[in-house]
Amino acid sequence: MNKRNEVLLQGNEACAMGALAAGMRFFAGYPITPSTEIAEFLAAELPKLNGTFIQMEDEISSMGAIIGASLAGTKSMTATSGPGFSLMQENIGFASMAEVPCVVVNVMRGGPSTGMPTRPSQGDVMQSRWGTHGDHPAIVLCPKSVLECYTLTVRAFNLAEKYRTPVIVLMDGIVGHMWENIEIPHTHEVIDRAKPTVPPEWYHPYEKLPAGNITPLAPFGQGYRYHVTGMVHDRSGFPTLDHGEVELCLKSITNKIKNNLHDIINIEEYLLKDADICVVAYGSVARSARSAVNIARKEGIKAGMLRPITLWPFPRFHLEGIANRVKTFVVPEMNLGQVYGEVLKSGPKKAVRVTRIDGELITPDQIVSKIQEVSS
Amino acid sequence: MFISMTKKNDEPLHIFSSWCKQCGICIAICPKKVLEKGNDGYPYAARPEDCILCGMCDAHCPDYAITLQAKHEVKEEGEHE
Amino acid sequence: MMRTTEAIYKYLRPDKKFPHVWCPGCGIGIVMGALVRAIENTELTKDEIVLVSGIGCSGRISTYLDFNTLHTTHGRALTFATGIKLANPELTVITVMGDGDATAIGGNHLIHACRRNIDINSIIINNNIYGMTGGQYSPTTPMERKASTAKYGSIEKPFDICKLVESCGATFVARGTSFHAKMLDAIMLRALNHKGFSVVEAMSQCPVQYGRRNKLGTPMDMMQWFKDNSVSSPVFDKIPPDEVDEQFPVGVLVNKEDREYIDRYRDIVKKAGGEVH
Repeated sequence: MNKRNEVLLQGNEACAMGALAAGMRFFAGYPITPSTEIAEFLAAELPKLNGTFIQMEDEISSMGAIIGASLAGTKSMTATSGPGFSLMQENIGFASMAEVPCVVVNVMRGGPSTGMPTRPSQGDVMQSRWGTHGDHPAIVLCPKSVLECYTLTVRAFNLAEKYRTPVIVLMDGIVGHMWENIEIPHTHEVIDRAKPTVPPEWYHPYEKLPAGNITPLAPFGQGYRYHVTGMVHDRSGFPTLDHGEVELCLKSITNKIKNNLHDIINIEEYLLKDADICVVAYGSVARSARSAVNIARKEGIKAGMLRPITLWPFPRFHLEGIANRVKTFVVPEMNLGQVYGEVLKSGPKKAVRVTRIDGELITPDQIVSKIQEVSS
Repeated sequence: MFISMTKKNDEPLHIFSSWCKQCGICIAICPKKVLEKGNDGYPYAARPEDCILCGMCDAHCPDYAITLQAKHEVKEEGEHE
Repeated sequence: MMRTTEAIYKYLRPDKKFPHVWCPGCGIGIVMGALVRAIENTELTKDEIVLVSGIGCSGRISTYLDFNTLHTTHGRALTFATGIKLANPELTVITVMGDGDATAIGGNHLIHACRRNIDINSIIINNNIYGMTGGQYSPTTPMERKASTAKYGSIEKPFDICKLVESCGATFVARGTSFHAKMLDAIMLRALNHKGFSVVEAMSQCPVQYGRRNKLGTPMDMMQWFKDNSVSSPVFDKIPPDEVDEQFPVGVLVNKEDREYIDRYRDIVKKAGGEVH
């Protein structure tokens, strides 16, 4: 590796740089710890690219603004933390329903409510999945390093464009504020907004295409006049209460994710082939988990790790496969067991959790002692 | 200005009853009291000859159910279709 | 000038979704007619216009008109509109909101859009009530008026929308009523031609949820009240404040020049060393 290409970056900065590399040219946000550096970085960088940075009056409006910008054809993003993420839920639901691509970064801090603004947490795992009302799709990516803050943000934009849906980058306060030397990838896939191939009079923004292909979203102002609503709508975008149309609409927004799990789900497996104990960890905790696995191996315990990089849709099938092979799952997380509950759904012989909600990182030692406990 | 009213018996306005919700605004707002409520509940031009094509009914119909006949339109001098 | 019905036909969606949802005698249809006539008098094409609406009776306007239309969440029309306008300043962005939509749940967005002076045309259809949900009192329901959630009369002082937005920095503020339909399209046209944040308050009757509950008579009676109590703004200004009873000023109330937000943002781009397109 050519060391000279390495730069010292903070996770939040890397996330912002990833967004720019993905072609994001519109950011709207509201100050909140520990995500603010993303906004600050983009306030400086976006104008240089003739992009737009705007600090809105709250997170509700930030989310509305990025949806509007996306409808006008610009890749857009917002970044926030727990309380702000709660405020965004209303319009995240709108983006899901109206199928508008956009990226929401949530740098998790201790909750509930104002909680611990300056302390990390993983308490928003379920909010990122079920925060908005109704049955809706969710794609949530969870980086563990500064490099991944960059690469997963690029991927978030690609998935958002490909599946016409909001994508959430779920960082935690540790990853967001961590500094690491990273080599910025020079080549990465960037998926740009597909253009309609049909003339305006044939265009239906919510047409269900064969083979699960998704109708391209025409930007406002280019001759494809259509209606966008948060109401259940038919293929042309107009509100409907027709039973068949309603079901088609609601199933299609979730099925486009469900039918493409192989493409969307991304995991990391570490020393799992012969493992008796599988540690399931994500985000910054996965760093401790990896160390814990190494320590346990030195002690002769066959431990391994599964790291969901795509947290939602949850890699249930991977877990089910592993559940048949391992004796015990150990699930360390900085909450009271939100992913642990998902692990239980995979039908494990045994699963235990290591939880921590005092605002401190889960250490390798904590995980090691749990591994020792279950292996003895 | 002249009014190009060619046939005296022509209705100056047309009520599109499938959009009309019988709110009565047109009847009440007409300065010449041209309109009346018919037996079917819909307005009709009871005194079409009094219509001055002012457009009050057209501009105030919340349901766009009144059309002033184009051939009765007030035209500027020298303007012909 | 083009008649309403002709203009409506021109701007209606090809697959006409009529008759519309509004109750008999509702003023929203009249306001929509005025908007369509105003647009007809600009040079704008349908493709250049984005119509953004909120939730409620007024929110349905976006369904009917053949522009790029966006029916947002309750109170949030201006936030989506801000994103659209910033992302593509070439577009003419019109937001249509109701009184509860714009000044209650969306009040924060309204005051900040005024403050920024972003070139968005806002139409606030004020019928003094939440109609769609069944007649609850709104921030513009007058004191003592009844609503389904003000059984004994409202005890809250109502907003004066025009004063509110003026004090927040809107550079074009006007008020019209459904009675003054033709004046309404004239002021909407001026608003459309104004560069900066404009607000047109269109007072409109809700004969079903508001009028019936408060014994205000027929739709025409309610419009007559607008006629009887509206005073053109220069005349209104001469009325001593203690003599003002129910009268309210109509017409263009504020029309001033100030730099528009996107203009100012271009300065930022220049300072940052970016290329302004």
